[in-house]
Amino acid sequence: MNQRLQTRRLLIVEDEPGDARLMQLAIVRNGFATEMSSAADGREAMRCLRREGARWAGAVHPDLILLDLKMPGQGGLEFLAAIKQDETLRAIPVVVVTTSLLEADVRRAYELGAAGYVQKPADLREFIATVRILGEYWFKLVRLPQNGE
Amino acid sequence: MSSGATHSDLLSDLFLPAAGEAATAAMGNPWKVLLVDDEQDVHAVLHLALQDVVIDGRPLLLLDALSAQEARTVLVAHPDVALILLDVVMESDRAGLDLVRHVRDDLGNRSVQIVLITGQPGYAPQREVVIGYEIDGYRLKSELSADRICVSVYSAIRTHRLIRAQEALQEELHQKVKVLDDTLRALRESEDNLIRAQSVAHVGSWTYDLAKDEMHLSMETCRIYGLAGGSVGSYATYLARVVPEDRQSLVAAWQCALDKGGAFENEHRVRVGKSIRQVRVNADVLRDADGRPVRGLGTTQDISERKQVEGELRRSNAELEQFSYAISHDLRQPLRMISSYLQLLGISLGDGLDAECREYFGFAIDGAKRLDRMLVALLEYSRVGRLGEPPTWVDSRAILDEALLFLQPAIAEAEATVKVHGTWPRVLVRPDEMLRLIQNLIGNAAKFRVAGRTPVITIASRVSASDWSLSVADNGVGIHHAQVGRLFQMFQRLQSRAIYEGSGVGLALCRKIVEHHGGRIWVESSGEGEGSRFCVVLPLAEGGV
Repeated sequence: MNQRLQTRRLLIVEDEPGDARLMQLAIVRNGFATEMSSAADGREAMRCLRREGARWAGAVHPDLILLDLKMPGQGGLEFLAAIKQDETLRAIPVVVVTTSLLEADVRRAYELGAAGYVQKPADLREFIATVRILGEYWFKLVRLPQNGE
Repeated sequence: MSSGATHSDLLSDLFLPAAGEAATAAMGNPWKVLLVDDEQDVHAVLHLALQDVVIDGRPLLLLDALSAQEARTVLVAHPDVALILLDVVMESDRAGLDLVRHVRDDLGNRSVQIVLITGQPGYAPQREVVIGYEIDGYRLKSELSADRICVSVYSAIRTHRLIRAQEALQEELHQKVKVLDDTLRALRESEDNLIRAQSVAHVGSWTYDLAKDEMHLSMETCRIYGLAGGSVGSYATYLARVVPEDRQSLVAAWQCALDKGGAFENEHRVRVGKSIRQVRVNADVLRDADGRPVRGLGTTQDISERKQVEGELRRSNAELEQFSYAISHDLRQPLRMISSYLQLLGISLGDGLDAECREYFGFAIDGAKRLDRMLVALLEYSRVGRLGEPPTWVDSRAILDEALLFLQPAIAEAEATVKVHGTWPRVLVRPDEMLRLIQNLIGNAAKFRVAGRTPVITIASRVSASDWSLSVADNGVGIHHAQVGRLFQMFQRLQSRAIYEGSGVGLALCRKIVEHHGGRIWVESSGEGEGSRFCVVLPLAEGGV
């Protein structure tokens, strides 16, 4: 009960506004108390994590990153590789949420250090169900590392 | 000189049979001597003179004819007469001479010896007769004595024997020449075939003499390298034709074959005029008694076309992969937007929607979700045989068990009875695809059931010398024979979607998997409501069981 009230910080890296919105809706519908930020590609997400620019000046490290793979500019796998090479960021768990069914993408994501790989469900109901499972696990079961504060 | 030796050996064999042979020959194989004279007395004299004569271990058999006509009859019955002692004047003045003509010309007999014995030299002057007729001796009756007769007979029989030996030799020689001719013709034919085969297969042959540094090329090899027929090359001239980037690996492979033995194999590009051809060269290195390489025997295959096709295939495969990826991602994302936000709209409008509108929302959302499933199935279909695991040896029974494990919920829901029969071999397959195949067939059997009938699914495996047969039979809805043709096509549904959910790709996928494994799939059904049996036959690879 307590943990449900504890606010979690979530960074959604997703170029499609429709998908980003669906994820946010699914989080809210499941009643998870979260602060959500959203970045449209890997480069912007990296600026957020490094608190670069006016928009991200006061940003705090998220407890979890939900990452799309196929994005214009820096793609998801490149971004994943970059933060796993960064001493101060590598502890943040990254769950890949993507449309891709390719085994190569799944394998590569785990090789790069993804904490999970979820295929985007086909509709809202399934989206909510999937995010519930994700949230139950990452927000309730796992004791997230206390990062850089 | 050597043929002369053989010749005389052969003659001496004929002349000097072994002692034992001579004895048996004496019993059954006499020299036949035909006496032709119209005077009985002459016959008597000759019989007396020749009665005990034995020549080369063989006695004489004397045959008598009292006229030239009778002699002709005797000659038909005894074509192997060795000697004819022949009177000239009998039923006619020239009856004897006519018989000579008959023997030599009509019968074609050159080996029989003919000695004329005449009482009237005026009718057959010696000189004229010897010149005009093929005779071997001329005696006057007046000078006949036992000794002279014997001498004549001896020499004639020996001459006959020589001629026979000569004829036998000639016959033998003739036979050998014929065999040689046949062999040569066959050789020329097979050479022609080889040339044709080389040109059809785009494979040429060549030999390379290491000591002389000479490379001799077949017609097809010359064609491949764009050279005039009968060209002779050397190591250096060959290497000069190879494009520089490929030279090093070629030289290394050749050196390795020379040093370490084993077959030489190399693919490289050669310059032919202004174009470049890709060739595959295979060769064996022949060695002398000390193991030093002396000769290379090889083939050159023009694989330019194949390489080009391979390149195109690679490109088109890559394009297909891109296309699949586009389908999986770019098309599915907008679909997700449609279905998700329609749902969201429906939820937001909530109670404001009447039953009819809610149904409209339902149709729209269902359609989008179905399209998404079809896209996923299409993606899977396009990837059969292209990506995923390579073929490996697996226990087919283990794949079946895995499929049954996956299908456990569906089988339980259908309350189906599953029976498994037969021998399950080890097979060389792509395990993920084979699992999909078996899973689809059993899944279908569980799905297309008849209400109120307990489903019974019978899975059977059979192994023959070269094939693995697999069948999945059920007692479900069956298939109308008119629809069998459509069954394995993409997005073809034979059953209402309202009752039987599915993407419409399952059996098309099954067929593609089976065909990619070099096999066949078909269905047997007695009709609607009669159940169906899906049969798969796959070739068994060598090295299984």
